[in-house]
Amino acid sequence: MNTINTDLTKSKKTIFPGTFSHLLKYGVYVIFFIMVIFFATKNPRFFTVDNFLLILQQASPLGIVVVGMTFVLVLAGIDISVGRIMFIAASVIGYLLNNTTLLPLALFENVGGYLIVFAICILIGSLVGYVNGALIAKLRIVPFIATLAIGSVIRGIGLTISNSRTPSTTYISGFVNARVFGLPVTLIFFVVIALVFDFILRFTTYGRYLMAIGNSPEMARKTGINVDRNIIIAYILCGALAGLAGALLAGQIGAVSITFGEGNEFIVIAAAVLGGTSLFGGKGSIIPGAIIGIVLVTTIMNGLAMVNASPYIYTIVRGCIIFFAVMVDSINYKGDLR
Amino acid sequence: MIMPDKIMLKMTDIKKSFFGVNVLHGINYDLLKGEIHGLVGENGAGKSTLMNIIGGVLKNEDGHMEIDSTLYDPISPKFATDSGVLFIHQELNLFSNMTVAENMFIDGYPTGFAGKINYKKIRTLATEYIQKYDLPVTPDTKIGTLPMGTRQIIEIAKALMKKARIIIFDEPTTSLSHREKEKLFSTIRQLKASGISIIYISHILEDVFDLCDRVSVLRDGMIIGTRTREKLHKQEIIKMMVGRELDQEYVTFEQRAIGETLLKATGLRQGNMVKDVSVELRSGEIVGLYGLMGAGRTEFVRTLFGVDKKDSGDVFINGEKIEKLSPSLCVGKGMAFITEDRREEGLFMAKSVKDNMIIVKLKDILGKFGIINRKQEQSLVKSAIGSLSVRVGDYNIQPINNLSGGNQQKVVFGKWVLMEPRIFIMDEPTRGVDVGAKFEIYSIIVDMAKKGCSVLMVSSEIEELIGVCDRILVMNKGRISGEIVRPEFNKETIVNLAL
Amino acid sequence: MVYPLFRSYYRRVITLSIKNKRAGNTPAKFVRNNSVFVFLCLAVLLSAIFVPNFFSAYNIKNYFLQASDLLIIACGLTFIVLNGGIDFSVTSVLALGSVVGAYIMALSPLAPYPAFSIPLSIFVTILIGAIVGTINGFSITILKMPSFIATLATQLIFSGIAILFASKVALRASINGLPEPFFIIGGEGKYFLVPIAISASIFFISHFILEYTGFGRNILAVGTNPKASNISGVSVKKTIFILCLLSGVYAGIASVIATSRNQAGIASLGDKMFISIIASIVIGGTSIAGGSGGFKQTLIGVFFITLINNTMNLLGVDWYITMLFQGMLILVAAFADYMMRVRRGSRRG
Repeated sequence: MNTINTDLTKSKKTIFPGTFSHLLKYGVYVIFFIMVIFFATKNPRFFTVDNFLLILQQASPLGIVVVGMTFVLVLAGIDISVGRIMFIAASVIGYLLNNTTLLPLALFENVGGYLIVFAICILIGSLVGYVNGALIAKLRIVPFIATLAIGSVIRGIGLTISNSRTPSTTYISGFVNARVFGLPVTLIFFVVIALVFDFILRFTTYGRYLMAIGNSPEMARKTGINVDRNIIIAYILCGALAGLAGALLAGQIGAVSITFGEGNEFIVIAAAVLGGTSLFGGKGSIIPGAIIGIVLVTTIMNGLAMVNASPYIYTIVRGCIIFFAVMVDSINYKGDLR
Repeated sequence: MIMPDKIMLKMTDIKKSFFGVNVLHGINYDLLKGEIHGLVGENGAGKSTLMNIIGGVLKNEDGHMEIDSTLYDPISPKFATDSGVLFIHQELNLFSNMTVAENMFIDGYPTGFAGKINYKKIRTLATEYIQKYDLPVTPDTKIGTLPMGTRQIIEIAKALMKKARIIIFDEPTTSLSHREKEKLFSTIRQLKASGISIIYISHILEDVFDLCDRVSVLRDGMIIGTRTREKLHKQEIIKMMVGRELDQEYVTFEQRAIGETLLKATGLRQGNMVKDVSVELRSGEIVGLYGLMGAGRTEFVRTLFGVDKKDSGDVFINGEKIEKLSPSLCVGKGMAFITEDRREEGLFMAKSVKDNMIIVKLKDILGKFGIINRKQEQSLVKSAIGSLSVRVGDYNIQPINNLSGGNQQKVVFGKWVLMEPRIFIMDEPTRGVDVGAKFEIYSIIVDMAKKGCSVLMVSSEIEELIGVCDRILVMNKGRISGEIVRPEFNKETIVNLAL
Repeated sequence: MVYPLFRSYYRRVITLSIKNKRAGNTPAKFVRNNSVFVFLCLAVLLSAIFVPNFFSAYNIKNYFLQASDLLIIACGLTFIVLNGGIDFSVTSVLALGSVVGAYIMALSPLAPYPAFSIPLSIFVTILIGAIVGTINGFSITILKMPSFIATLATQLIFSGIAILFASKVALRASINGLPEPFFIIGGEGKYFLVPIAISASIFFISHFILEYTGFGRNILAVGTNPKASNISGVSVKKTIFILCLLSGVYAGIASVIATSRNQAGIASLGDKMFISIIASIVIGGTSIAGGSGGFKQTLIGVFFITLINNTMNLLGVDWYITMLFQGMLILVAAFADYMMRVRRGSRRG
């Protein structure tokens, strides 16, 4: 795929006049509020503080992945293996927790055990992220193909580890679902990570380099930026955060089913794009972008559960969210077809 | 002040080859302290390769370099920069999604606690440079909102912020207005006065003669000769560049029969670059379109061909009003268009010469079910290669990116000539083409006109337009500011209209 | 084998004839230039020796039947990939076409009249493909969405609709009770040549379009450089749109055959198939970056992937191991593509 140098692309008129594309942009929020009102009328429990906290708690693990995905999207890359990174990390955790010889349960009497679990997940995620990044940066494989292939490889490995069973991960549930000062632990994780990564993206050299590479990798290379290394780091960060999110989600749910994590990549991408991060690279934010995005998506998913929608509707809604989010992004984009 | 006794950069026996093809055959070159040294040569002579070796972009394979009598072996552009060698590239290296200040400091942000970029500092420093070069921007302006000329100056300002001993300018004036160019030249002279050595590469010989203390000519990967300022002679330099004397730079002008109007555009507007342009092209006529960078010439011809959608105005082809302009429709009406960006928009770089040549004509050689008549395809391509004298091996296999710039441009011409266009629009048809091939391209253009084709030729080189056109339109700030017919051709008048 | 049969035909294809000219007659060169094909032969040989029941008449028939719908759907996607895009939605066409088609034949008011319901069901299935293709084409050309994300979204939407539809009309994910005559299309019993013939004709038509027609050249041109194509008078949007439509229709045809072969409408029909389809295409040597490759490559790739699926199945290997294996093969193929690019010295992608 040709990289597009936006400097050279002639200012082309978008197909829709400015007002209409603005309307489209805010249309997303209008639809969102209509849906919220619909859920609220259908189920009075939807519009409560408890449910709002629940939404934030539900949003947190995937929100962490959205943070990583934002880094990758800013580079004009994409990682569709994140759902499967979550799965493989959770599978390994499930395996370890059910083999007490490998991970003595006594460890979980203090925080040390949890740290080990999270460290393992982050390590696994980083490893997969490194492979993704190397395939994309060094071998120049199109990102969605590289991560698609890696996704199927690691899902196979994950299923081999779990032997197609559903290991229980309730050992870490207590910690993950605990509340500190009334706030869920996962939410605290999410907030801290969002703050740290927002700082990296906004205020550090690395963050500016990501923006530069997303704008034009060729120019970035000529400027002396180590493009390949920065790309690989972004995928490692994305993978590491997905690995951590896998552990947190496994704790939240309490088990790792064979469909664990499947399709999460779509929620994550949809949330990132809804938050204003462009698929075309060079533009994106974590605060508020990634946070708004994941809260919107989770609210809709939560609302669907509240109104007892058919489980099959979820996939359709997810698809629609991605479609409309990307549509708005694309209509505002002034480059060429991709 | 030149110090003839002090050599800043000494290159000895530099060689380089790509895929077994020797590009540089042992370059020996000295750059004195505090001099402006011009480097000229045809495309493919090896200028870029040589400069990329100095700038650390390419690896030095053989021979060695010394700066200030110490060994200099750059392993990366960063290494070169750290050693005080600045390379200002022809193309802009600015990121449109970032601010002026962020761009100026892209290769080394001052950082504080936890790697936090010191924004206050870069804003202050950027403001300093903005004032120094009198730029109409603030440090927080996004590059994407700025015109090209301003960007070019920012690019140069960015480079000059670093400590330099040697600065390489590679065609720095391509998108500058006259005034910006003067400002740049005075900056370069200031740099020289402070003892910095400058290598200045350009195709525009007038600029080189105006600016440089010495000029070296590179041909076929070798330094053919070096002349000091006093001994510069344009004809001699051209002769050195091409290796033969060009008694004639342009085709002799012959009066042609000028016929009916083929293309008419009235009140064309597009974006903020094309404001109310009207032209009329007649058969057998070569019309030049001159204007400074940013005058809207390229935007105008792109709109005329339907590449960019017009906002308002009417276009008539053969007297017929065209409502929805698009490239495919224009091609169907017998229009041809050569873009200024050959690599991105003109050619399929990885594809063969044949595939590139036939693409436009293809629809005319289809039989039943849209099947390509291969015999006809071969004979057409062969005849076009012959008549345009494209130097190519097996045109069925050889990819276009193996050809020289001039030959590539001839293939671009070939693909349009094959369809026998009635209206031919060309944007900088001789850009990046060496002197020898230029002449051949002028002959092709004149031949087309003789056959009754109507040609609209956009160019930045006034001499070229004066050489081949029947009349010249001058564009300024999105409007046609004047029209000059052949008997009244005068360089000064044209430049005045453009300013 | 199949290859020599086709060989004289391919000779006329310019790109390949160059390879043959260069190859001369030395076996080493032949192996190097046709490495995937040589690998395929080796794999067939190994399977024949080591995999029990591989070389049985039943399994060979089964092998070609399995290859037939994969080939059709891969042909549609090959067009898209050559044109520089991707289409994830083909698997959702498989699923939705399958359940809707099966509904018409088994549960709708027309079900008792197979003479009407079968043609109607085939028509509707292909129509679904066309509709999904049209939506994709619209999203990519008019809304200017990147093809991979537009088709990912439509894939989610339509596979969701497929399973929702099945659960609503049949209360489960599959619909049984299809009329007997419909099974001919899927190669039931002595009719096993029917699907093979259908997919072979689709393969030849696709190959013909690419290699011999002006439209085929336009596809490659757009895949190589859309900007230059546009300025050369090639209608880029029209080309992309037609190919999206074509890919959808091909997926619809594949859905008919797969439904018939499975003798049921299955909402999860395409679920794990995408990786096989994309693997078939890239293993043959078609570049995912667009502009280079062809249908001969896809054919070899389809035979290769079907062989893997078939033997893994015979050996009782879990589906996820097969999937893992195919993921690795995609990476290997992409690596080979990278090496080719390095050798050619171009830095695309």
